[in-house]
Amino acid sequence: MSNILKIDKVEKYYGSKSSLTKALDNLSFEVDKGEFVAIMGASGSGKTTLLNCISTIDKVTSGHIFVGGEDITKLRGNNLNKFRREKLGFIFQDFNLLDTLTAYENISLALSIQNKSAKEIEKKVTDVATKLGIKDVLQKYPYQMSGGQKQRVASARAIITDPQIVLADEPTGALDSKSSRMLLESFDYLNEKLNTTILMVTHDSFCASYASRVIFIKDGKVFNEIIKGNSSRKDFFDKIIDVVTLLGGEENDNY
Amino acid sequence: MTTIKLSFRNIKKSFKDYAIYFFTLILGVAIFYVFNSIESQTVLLDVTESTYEIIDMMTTMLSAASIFVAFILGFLIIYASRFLMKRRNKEFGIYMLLGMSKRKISMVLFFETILIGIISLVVGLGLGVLLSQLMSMLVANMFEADMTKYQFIFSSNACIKTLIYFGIMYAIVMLFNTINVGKCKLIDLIQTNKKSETVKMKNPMLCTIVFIISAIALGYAYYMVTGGINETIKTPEDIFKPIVIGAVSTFFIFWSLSGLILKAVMSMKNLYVKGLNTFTFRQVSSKINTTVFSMTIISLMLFVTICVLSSSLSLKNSMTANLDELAPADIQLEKRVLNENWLDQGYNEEQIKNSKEKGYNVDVDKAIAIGYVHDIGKYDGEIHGHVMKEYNYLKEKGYDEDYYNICLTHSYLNNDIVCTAGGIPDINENPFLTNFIKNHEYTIEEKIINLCDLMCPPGGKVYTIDKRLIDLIIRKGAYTNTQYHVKETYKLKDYFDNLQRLL
Ligand SMILES: Nc1ncnc2c1ncn2[C@@H]1O[C@H](COP(=O)(O)OP(=O)(O)OP(=O)(O)O)[C@@H](O)[C@H]1O
Ligand SMILES: [Mg+2]
Repeated sequence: MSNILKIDKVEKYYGSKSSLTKALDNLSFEVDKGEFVAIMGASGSGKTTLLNCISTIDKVTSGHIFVGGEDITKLRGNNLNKFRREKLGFIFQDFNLLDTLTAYENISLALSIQNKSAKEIEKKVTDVATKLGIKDVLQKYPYQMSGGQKQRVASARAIITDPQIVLADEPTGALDSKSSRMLLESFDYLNEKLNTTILMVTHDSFCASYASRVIFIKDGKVFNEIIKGNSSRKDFFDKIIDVVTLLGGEENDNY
Repeated sequence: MTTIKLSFRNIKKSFKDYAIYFFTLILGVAIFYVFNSIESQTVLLDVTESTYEIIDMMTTMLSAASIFVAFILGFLIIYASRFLMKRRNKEFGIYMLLGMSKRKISMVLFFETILIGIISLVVGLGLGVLLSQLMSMLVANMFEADMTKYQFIFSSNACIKTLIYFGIMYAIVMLFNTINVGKCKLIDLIQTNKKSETVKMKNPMLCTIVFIISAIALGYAYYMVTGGINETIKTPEDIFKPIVIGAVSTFFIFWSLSGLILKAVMSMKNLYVKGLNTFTFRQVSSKINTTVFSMTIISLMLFVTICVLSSSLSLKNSMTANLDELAPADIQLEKRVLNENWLDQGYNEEQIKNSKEKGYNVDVDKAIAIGYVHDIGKYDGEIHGHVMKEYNYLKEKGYDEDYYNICLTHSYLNNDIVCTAGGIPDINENPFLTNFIKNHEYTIEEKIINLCDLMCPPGGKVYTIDKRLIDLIIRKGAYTNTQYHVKETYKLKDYFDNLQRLL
């Protein structure tokens, strides 16, 4: 099976009949294994809602979401926990690490919930920390780390379980441009070298240019989609800017 | 990272953040123990019966107060645990998103509660045991008990009571937590964290007014249990008035104070940092809230303690005053009427002992013994001539004359056989008796028993001398020697009164 994620006519409504918000309106798309997809769209277009539905944080109103062929909208109880534990990695804008634990412990938490042995955990954490360049901060607590370091620790935790897909909701939102770049380099590395499938929501065209494909969402529907293909990042960035301008100059909000 | 380790970490963190909450818990446990241990602390005190009654009453009041303390503590624990749960939405959200089952999250909380419980109970009980020693010294001092017999006491009863009570409370918290975890939805956990919670501001004008009123009320409540105690507390029930006023006003003082502090903090922040971060503000406000809540409860517990101590002191004073009025003599012996054997009537050992304490240099055992036997012949009613009968009885049994002489002497106040109540004896009727009385030298023990006899009517009561003399006249009639007997009775009373004055 080549597509790891399949969004099938998903609808998500908020509110009552009188004031109904269609956050997702009959949305469909697919993501293949090893793809790095960015989702862009104006504020309120339904990006976060989409990610919440995929990550089982929220429930869809109708439609189906398949991850690795499994319909996750039907998951309940222990199967749901198992899905979150084994198939999903998640990175938020802020809302990631537990303040009471060191970076090492935060990362290993994902594995110890899976009841992995301490030895295996140590090997994996060291391994992934080396790859993401956070070996030096492993013994630090979140308040002792920079924002960029925290997000890379969060990334490490998201991928350490070898999930089928990593979801990221504006992971660079709270970072300065240098830290953003480092985090995106890490994503790039995960995607290129470890073949991790990544779905990232972002406001920022520059961030989106790291992806291999960008999906634009407007009013809960797919508005447009562009593929990087063999073009350079600079060319891809320019193309993204064009669509963003078409959508209504969203970028100015952020930078 | 095991479940237990996770719990440990969380506790460590909360210790830093909620030191005041833990302090309140520990203090609460300690006070609960102290209140309930007073009984075993004081039971060993060497005090008189009447003092003991007051202490007994105080003990009852303290255990009632401990229920009050327990209630407000239970309130604190449940409030705080709910409050802490709310603050941990992010944490639970992460656990759930990482695929931790709700059962396991409940386990983390379960271990946390157990840890908090163990720590607060161990530290609290330790503190309580120490405090209760201080308390018993205080009580001993208050009731002028003999401190040389003081010893370190651990009350296992109070300890078990504390363990059971707090065990139940923590079990309720665990139940609450489990229910809460079961109910929570991932989306809510994640979204409440993002929502910028608005902090409810209290009206500063209202706060100020409430503060002033409650400060006055609290001041009055404190006055009632300290300076003005003698007017306000006359019966054990009176204690509830200041406690209720105190509790309500303490609550409102802190309620209004928290509003004012928050207002002050906010205007200060506005001055220095424009565009205040709502998150830090929320933190400040929640910190103020927990601190205020804990402080309220600490103050309440201390207030209740003060109430109980000072009011029992006041009750003691008023009771002693009553006693002085009712029983002007220093020695009170109580006649006990049992029904079965020769040892029908006797005197209360405790009170004879007390007379020794006051320094009369009495052979207590002897006094008690002769107290028991002086009317040994009266086993089936008022028998004329019982004195000789019992004298001979004991003599035949081979007892020492120091002990059985009382059978003869207790009816006569001096060496004159005429000095007796209930009729004029015929000096020739029993020459042995007449002679015996004439030549007898009264021991102090015998004098005490005589005085006691003149205060105790049949039936286990204690009268004042005056009342008892009238009682005698009513029951036995007035004779030409009655005036003589009454005068001699007062002489005997004066003898002991003077003895006491000399001490
Ligand atoms: N819990 C909710 N209740 C009601 N309406 C909601 C809720 N969450 C989101 N919405 C609405 O759904 C729509 C999509 O919201 P969503 O958060 O997905 O937007 P977004 O694309 O992530 O925006 P942003 O870029 O600002 O993060 C918005 O109109 C929003 O008001
Ligand atoms: Mg969003």
